[in-house]
Amino acid sequence: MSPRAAWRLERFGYDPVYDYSVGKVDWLAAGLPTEGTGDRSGRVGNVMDRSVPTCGPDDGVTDVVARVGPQLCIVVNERGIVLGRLRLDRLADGEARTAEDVMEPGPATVRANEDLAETLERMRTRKVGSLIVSTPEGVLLGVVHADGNEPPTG
Amino acid sequence: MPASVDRVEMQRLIAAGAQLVEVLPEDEYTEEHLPGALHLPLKSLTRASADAVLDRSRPVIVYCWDAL
Repeated sequence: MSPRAAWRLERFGYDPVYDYSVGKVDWLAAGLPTEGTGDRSGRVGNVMDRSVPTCGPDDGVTDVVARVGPQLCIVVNERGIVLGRLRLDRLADGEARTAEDVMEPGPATVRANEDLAETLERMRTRKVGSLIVSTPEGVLLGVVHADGNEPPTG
Repeated sequence: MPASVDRVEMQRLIAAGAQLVEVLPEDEYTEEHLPGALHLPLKSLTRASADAVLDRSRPVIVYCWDAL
């Protein structure tokens, strides 16, 4: 639809005309704010935990554990792109390796605009405790937890 | 020929003064639109309707729901 609108505006003499062709869904998937009367409470981005610990791929696991404790930690590069997931509670003590050595590469991610109730149900079915939320480009936005993130009722 | 832009480029253009226009129907725009977006539904897009909303001296960025 937007390419046709762009062509029409150009025909009307507007110049330059650009087309944000991936559109509103791309904006929403990136977890960016919007305006309007609609209810946005049922989306993953509305409840995601933005304070999830992160580390770089070259960080030592021992240092990461000392910093964030035995919990989930997301491995990201210098641009914030999700590279992997560390389950620090599952690592053997004393491992002097890097995050990249022991991370789970390519973890599943969801977009911020996905339906929260459907996402939580999918997580329960697959027995997934947490799911990474990222932009379409793979930049970490947060984590949605299976527990404590109930969809709104009523 | 209208150039396609990604989100980052679009945000840069807006910061530089471009006008953002949603071309979806009224109900979709009312429910949710990008911050500051103007509204020009494609189905009723004419030279007159565009001129009533847009500033010819500034770049224009249009968007709809997705690329499909």
